[in-house]
Amino acid sequence: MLRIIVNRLLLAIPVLVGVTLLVFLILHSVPGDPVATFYGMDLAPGDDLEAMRNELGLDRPLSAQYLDFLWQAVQGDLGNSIKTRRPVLQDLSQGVVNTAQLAMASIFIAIVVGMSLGILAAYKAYSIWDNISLSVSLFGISLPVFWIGLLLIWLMSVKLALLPSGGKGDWRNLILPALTLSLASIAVISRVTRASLLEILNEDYIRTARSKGLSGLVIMLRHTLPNGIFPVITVVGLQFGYLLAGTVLVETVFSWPGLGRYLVDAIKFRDYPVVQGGVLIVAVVFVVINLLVDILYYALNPRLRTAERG
Amino acid sequence: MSSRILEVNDLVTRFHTQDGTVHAVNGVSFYLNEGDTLGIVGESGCGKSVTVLSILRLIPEPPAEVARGEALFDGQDLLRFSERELRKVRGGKIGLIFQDPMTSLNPVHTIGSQVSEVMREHLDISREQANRRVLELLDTVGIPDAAQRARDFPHQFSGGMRQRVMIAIALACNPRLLIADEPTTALDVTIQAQIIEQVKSLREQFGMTVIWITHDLGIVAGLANRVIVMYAGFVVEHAAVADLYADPRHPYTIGLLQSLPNLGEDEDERLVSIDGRPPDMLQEPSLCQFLPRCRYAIERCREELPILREVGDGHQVACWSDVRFEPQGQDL
Ligand SMILES: Nc1ncnc2c1ncn2[C@@H]1O[C@H](COP(=O)(O)OP(=O)(O)O)[C@@H](O)[C@H]1O
Ligand SMILES: [Mg+2]
Repeated sequence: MLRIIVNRLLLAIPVLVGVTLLVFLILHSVPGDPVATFYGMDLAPGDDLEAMRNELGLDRPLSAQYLDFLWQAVQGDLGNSIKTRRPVLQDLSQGVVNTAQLAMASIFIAIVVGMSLGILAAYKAYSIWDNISLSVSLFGISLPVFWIGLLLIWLMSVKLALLPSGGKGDWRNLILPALTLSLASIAVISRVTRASLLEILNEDYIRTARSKGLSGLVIMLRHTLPNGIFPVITVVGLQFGYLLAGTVLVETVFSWPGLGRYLVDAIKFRDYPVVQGGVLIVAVVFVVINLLVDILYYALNPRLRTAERG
Repeated sequence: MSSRILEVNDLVTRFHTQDGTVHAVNGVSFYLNEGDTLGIVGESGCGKSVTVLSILRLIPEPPAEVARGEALFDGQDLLRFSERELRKVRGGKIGLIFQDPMTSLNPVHTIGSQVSEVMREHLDISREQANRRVLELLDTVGIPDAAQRARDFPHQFSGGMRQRVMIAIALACNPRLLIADEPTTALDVTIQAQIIEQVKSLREQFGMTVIWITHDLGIVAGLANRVIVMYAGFVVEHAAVADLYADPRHPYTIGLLQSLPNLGEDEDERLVSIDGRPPDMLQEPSLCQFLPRCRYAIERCREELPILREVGDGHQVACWSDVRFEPQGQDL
């Protein structure tokens, strides 16, 4: 068990380095730099752009800049925002918390609704319920996030006045963005759940379970689901990644003050440290989620568990 | 006069597949009296499993369709039972063992919980009572160190041991009837013999009635008192086990007996095999299905479907041709 965790964490190092390097290179190959974008707006005559670049260290070789960033990041320092001059971690912390809230709520909805729909579809395969579940999935997967978001705002906030249309407040502000963000994942999770369960239902041990006189529900929940859960866990892990990516759009549509929105702003202003820091945080979260997926796999599979004991 | 436990009449089961309708079981009838062990024999694909699974509705419907017939269990027709009523019978009054012990147990649950589950479903007992009885049962079916092994998972058991677990599950609720569907086919020969001995002794101990399915006539000899021989979804012969061996009356049965290796001879050296292949069962049968492979066919065989007719006391055969088998000894 411990070996798996250590192994995974070691594997994560090249991933994190790779991600930050890629983002770094992309950022620096896009035309424009922070000095030009916002110091450039209200330049006093005599101000020296080069001096400012020098002050920010932007005139040094790219390799030196990147290694500097890495070295500081390892020590837990993501540098200061060029725009606000405050430490990046401090600037991003509220966004991280808000995005985490949104992502957690979304993945929770996606797992509960997606798996329920998938189980229902498998339990009542080829019936009307199966078709209803399929329709919901198609709906969720084919409509663009921003369009669904706007539709929900129009319906729930404008027409019915049930929920706030955006911003950050109590739990009611969370419902619409979380729901919007979860729709595509609901679709994918329900489809994978259904397919996996239907495959398990063909197994010999399911016939054994039926030959014991167990009810359909017990067979589904006690005998089928625990065996069919593994592809679902994998896909939930993957969906979490997509979901994090989706937060950028959803946060914009619902004016949710999350990491995604900060990052979009930071990219506009070429606020290099903020972008790099934000991406690093997202990448770390991603690695941790993948680790959790592996641990879950391990914990739920008696073959792996007992192999270690014996 | 012992009482009738199961009487199956004119059972018809089909599969509606993309390639067409598979006529898997075509009017099968048989019966079991209390204490009987009935052997169902026939080569792979002849409908043995589908026959018994149809009775308990354990085949997937669709594609399967149990189209006709009755299955009187203690006088009540199982084919008219609701799913709820059937559940009481499955595992409660009728226990089943299947062919492949490697895949018949659920990999994520312990052996103990898989045995106790069936008792918790059918018997009114507490968890502790069930757990205690699990240990007794595992002991009874010959699993050493039961207390320890009950906590193990299927992958920690060998094939033979897993089949013993399956037997424990099947017997847990003291069923009146045990259906064993080729329970030893997937096991190697020594383990096979052990399992057969185990079932024999349990049969005495529990006073059970048994249906034993196999494609191996050799196994049936020492185990069953009556045998039905199936071919392409039909019962082609039914006889007391001694009569079947001494006086087989269907060309297919004769072929099967001839292909048995004699005692002491090499297992692999089958003496005679039946030429040709079984039909694909995609046509609704209108003539004897064995006709294309039959050496004894007469004119009438090409005109109408044979029905089971009495040829001796409790000995029936579905064949128009009056074949007698003369054991031919050396010159075979
Ligand atoms: N799920 C299924 N779909 C289509 N055909 C099937 C299915 N199950 C069994 N059959 C067909 O029914 C026939 C009888 O099968 P079975 O009873 O399993 O044979 P066996 O005598 O070996 O137990 C075979 O021809 C098989 O192809
Ligand atoms: Mg079979």
